[in-house]
Order: sequence, then structure tokens, then C-alpha cells
Amino acid sequence: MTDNLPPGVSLSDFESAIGELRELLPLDSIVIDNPAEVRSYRDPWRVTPEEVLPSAAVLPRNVEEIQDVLGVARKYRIPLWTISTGKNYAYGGPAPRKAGYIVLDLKRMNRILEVNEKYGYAVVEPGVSYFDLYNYLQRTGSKLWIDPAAPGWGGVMGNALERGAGYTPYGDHFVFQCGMQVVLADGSVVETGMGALPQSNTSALHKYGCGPSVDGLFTASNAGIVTKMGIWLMPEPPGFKAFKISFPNETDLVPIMEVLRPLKLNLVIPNGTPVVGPIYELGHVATRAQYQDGKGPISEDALRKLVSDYDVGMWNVYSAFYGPPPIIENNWKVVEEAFRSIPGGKIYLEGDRPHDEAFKYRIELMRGIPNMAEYGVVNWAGGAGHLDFVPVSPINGEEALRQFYAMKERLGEYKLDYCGEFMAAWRFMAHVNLILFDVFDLDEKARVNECYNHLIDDAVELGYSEYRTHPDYMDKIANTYSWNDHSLLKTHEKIKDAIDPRGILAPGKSGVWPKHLRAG
Amino acid sequence: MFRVLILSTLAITIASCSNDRSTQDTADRDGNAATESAAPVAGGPFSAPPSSHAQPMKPFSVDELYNTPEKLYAVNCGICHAEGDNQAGTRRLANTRGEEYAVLVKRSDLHVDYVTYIVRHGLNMMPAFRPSELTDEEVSAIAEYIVAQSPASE
Repeated sequence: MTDNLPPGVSLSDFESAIGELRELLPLDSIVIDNPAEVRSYRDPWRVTPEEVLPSAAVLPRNVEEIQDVLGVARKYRIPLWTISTGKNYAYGGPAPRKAGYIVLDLKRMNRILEVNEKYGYAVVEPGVSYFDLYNYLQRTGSKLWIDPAAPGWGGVMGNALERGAGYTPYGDHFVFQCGMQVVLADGSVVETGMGALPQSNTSALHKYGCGPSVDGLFTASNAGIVTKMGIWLMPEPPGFKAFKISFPNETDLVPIMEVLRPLKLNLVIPNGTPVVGPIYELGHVATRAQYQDGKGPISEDALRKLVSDYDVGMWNVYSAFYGPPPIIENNWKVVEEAFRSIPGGKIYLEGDRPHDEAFKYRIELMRGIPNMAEYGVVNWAGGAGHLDFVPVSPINGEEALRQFYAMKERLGEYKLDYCGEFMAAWRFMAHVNLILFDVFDLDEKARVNECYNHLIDDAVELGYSEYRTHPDYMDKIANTYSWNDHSLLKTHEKIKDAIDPRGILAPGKSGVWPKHLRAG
Repeated sequence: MFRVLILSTLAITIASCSNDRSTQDTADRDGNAATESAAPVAGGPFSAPPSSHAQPMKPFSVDELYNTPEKLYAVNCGICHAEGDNQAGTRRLANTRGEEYAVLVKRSDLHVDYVTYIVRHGLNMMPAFRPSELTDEEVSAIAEYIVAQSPASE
């Protein structure tokens, strides 16, 4: 591994650092000598040609071991790239921002520290996945639900820290985070919010405490290493009613979003509402090869046939109601009436379409049952990979249609399919574009990369950008938030330099580089 | 229209809150067993927490959930490779290899060494599993479990 040193670190310093880590940590806590194990930290879906592998990975089991690793990293100025479950494929997976970093892999810190049935929360360590928490709650007969991200192998903590989303009313994960413990670069340990009170019994109940709230600083960031986190869990509701409404025309997107906006603003629909296009809807059960020869994009005729074969809409709306049945029925009447104002919609309730696999997995997600169904959408394009472009904009019908046509056209220029949904949340819609490609097709991957850069530029011209991105594009996306001579990024850099003066924690995460690695 | 319906909903909810369900209690965060009075609590239609959770829990390593090869297989492999239409790996194998190769535990062509290799290296849409996720011993146990389920080994 000596040919893959951390940036700016000499071979002798690196060897000294590994030697010291070997003295401090158990033998099986350092991954370095076995090439297959090191390669297990690669990002299999990277579209740029460079292979980005870590020089090593360290696998601490507790806070003390993290502090030991930090001491060595500070001494030799070795960049550490922290991951929790490492399953956020399309956002880099377990791979570091740059080749040669040491990955700090927290997967082994996998304890559920507390589940509080009465007050409705859990406190978890970084390595606890949605499946883990769900399985634990099932085993113990808990009456609490989780809110899983679509692939259930993801981490409860990591997903919230990356500001990911799920499909129950608790779907905006960072909103439902409450309290965290953070190890700073100097090794000190901090409890945020109410957790800073000795004998606190509200650290997972009140998000802010008194004074500045710092939790956000540790999301999508490189300011510290979060080692535990509180997350609110929804008590099993006395009633649940899921629905799907399919619309036949692409232009129906306009009235759909217009109908949705007041329902979301007034919290009549309690969970995030995806409005799903055909390939996102069916990519996990059908493949492009079944509908046309050769590569994409799929022809309009083939797309129509796909939609007709599976009897789905050009747009498919999913949501659910939770709570006492009388409230559900009243709210359902409001929602049903609102959507019936759009001609051509077909309304389905749970049980209406027993062979509709998309409806099935989405009902599970809306009920807090983790699964991997949506991961299968990568089957659509052949060799199975995706890169996500997810700009955020107001919930607005004309805007949605404009974006849809613009993206579809741009993707088409690069011979790529449009596989998208609009996720309407509190007051915005996230336009989730899964750019599907064949991982074995180098030409296609090059086109994806070029297209992605083009999409970012297109979006900026219209005044929007992504809320999260793959490590390869972190600098570019950070630079889209450029108001007042990049004053936000400069603020992040000031904080970074103060809180991590040796610049060892995840250099380049979200475009934030420590002073010694900044250009210019 | 909205307002009328929401107000009527509230009325129904409030009306249904007047039952006198006895409640069980759980422990507080600091571990003290709760000692609330026996006065009725307005839980309405919402169920009380299960009494089995009255005691504070000890930190629980999720490794304890997966203490057999079968359980390790289920949470690491079965989530994509079990039988069923919404199984990403099963669907993939059906598309590329054919239905008879779709479900891992029904295949008779798999060998322990091959499965072990694929788990650590990944294949196509399946990413590699890191040593932090599965130890070598766990990978072997899973591989042996899968091969042992094969119709040929019965």
C-alpha cells in the first residue's frame, strides 16, 4: 500500500503512524495488508476513471479508540475519512474523497444505547442500520416505528447526518434527530443541546438546549466525529391508510404539484409525497433491454408500452395517513376530492393492486418497514450503477414540468434515460434524478460525468442547486452556493480552521478544505 | 372546506379521548423506574407503551441479533437475494442468468470459495462487504450456509 500514501504524508511518517496505530488498537482493527479488504472500500459506482482507494482503514470499537486514532492522525497530519455504515452508494459509498486517506470506519460501533417507549426515541451508535433497529424493535415487541431510507441497509445516524429522507411523517431525518455526542479533532468529547446538562433526561427530547445550537455543524460536514445520536421514533399509530394515484399524461405534473402544495403546507398529508415517473416506478421490475435493443435513451413508444404493460401512470403519487381512523377518513376525503379535480387520475388504496411491486415496497416504507426493493432500480440500465442529481426548488407545477422537460432533454443529449421523481416535503420539492448507467461501459460513464456537470450548470442558471452530492462533485456544488463572494463557504472554512487546526478530519467533505490543503 | 373538516376531526378526537384506559409506564432516560401516579392518562385512541419495556435497557450490540449463520445470511444477503419480486439481487440474477439461478439458497452450482470471494469483492450491482461488516469467519459461515441449503446437498 506504499504506492497510495495520504496526500502530503511521507512514507516514513505513514509507516510510523501505522506502527503506532498497531500498538494502540487490537490487531483486527487495521485494514491495510490485504488488498481485497482495502478494495472493499472502493466506490463501485464512481463514473470518473480514477480509482480512489484508502491507504488503510481503521475500525474503532469505542470513543477511546477514536481518540487514540485522532492522536496519531494529528501527529502525522493524516486525513481521516469517517464513514458509519458506508452504504450511501451514489454518494460515494465507503470511499474517501481522495486516494490515500485513512478511512475511519465506525461500523463496529453498533450498539443501540437506548429505546424509550414512553417518550418515543432511540439513541444509536453510527453502525446501527435501519434493518438492525427494526429487527431489534420487532424482537422486543416495541410499539415504535422507524423511518427507513429506501435502502434499509443504510445507517440510522449516517443518513440523518447526511440529511437523508424516509417516507413516514418522520421522513426528514435531521428534523427528527435530537441530541448527539461528538468527538472533536483534538479528542475532546461533546454532548450537544440538552445533553450538556449533567444528569440530563431531555437530551433526546428537546433539540436545542440554551444558546447556539451546533448540531447542524456536524451534518454533511467535517467538523467532528459523531459517535451517538438520538432519533425520534413514531409510536405505532392506531390507523394507517396508504394511497396511490396514477395520472396518464406528462403534463399532469402541473396540477399534481399545485394540488399537493396546500395539502403539504397545511400538513393534511403528513409524509413526504413522491410523484414518480415511469422508470423510477418500474426500474426495479423491468429492464430497458426488455423494451428496446441497444442503449438509451428509451424511445417514447417503448416508454408508452412499459407504462401500459404495468398499468401505471406517467406520474404516480404516493402517500399515507396515520392516526385515529376518524381523522384519517376525514383527511382522506379532503385529499381524494382535491386530486379528483385533476381529470384522468386513477386512485388506489392498499390491497387494490396485489401485483403492483412498487406500491408494495412503498407501503412498507411508509409503514416503517425497511427493504431493499428500490435498490433494484439499477437493474434497468444493465450493468447497474447510478449517480443522483437532486436539485431543490419550490413546490410549483410549472417549475416541475419545466425541470422535467429540461432534464429529460439534457439526459437525452447524453443518451441517458430520465429516471426521476419529485419528492414534495415541507415547503420544497426535491427533484430526485437517478442517472442510471452500466458500470462496465466506460463511454457511458464518461457521458454521465459530463452530463452531471452540465446539469449542475443548468440548475445554477435557474437559481437552484443540489442539497447533497457525490464526493467527486462536492467542490463544484459548494461553489454554486456562491452569494457574496462565497461567504458561506468562507464561513465553513473559518470554522474548519478553528475546530480542526491540523486539518485531519475528512478534508474536502462538502467542499470544505482545511487551510493547508486549500487552493490559493 | 379544509377548516370545517379539520375542526370536525378535532371534535371526534377530543370526544374519543375520554376513556379511562389504565396505563403502563416505562423507565426514564436516566434509568429510574418511573413512578407516576395511577391517575388516568388521556391516551385517547393511542396505545400505551408495552409493559415489557418498563425496565431501562442495557446498551445492546446488534451483533446479538445475528448469532446464527441463518440470521447473518438473512440480514446481509436475504434482504436482496430471498425469493420474491421485490428482491433486487434475485431479480438481477433472473434477468441475467435465468430463473433457475435467481434464488441463492435454491442453487446447486455455488461453492463456498466462490461465495466467499463474491462477498469480499462484490459483483456487478452487489458491492463488496467490508471487514467491519463481516469478519472472515462470518463470511465463511454464510457461504457454508448458502451452499448447505442447495438442493444438491440434501
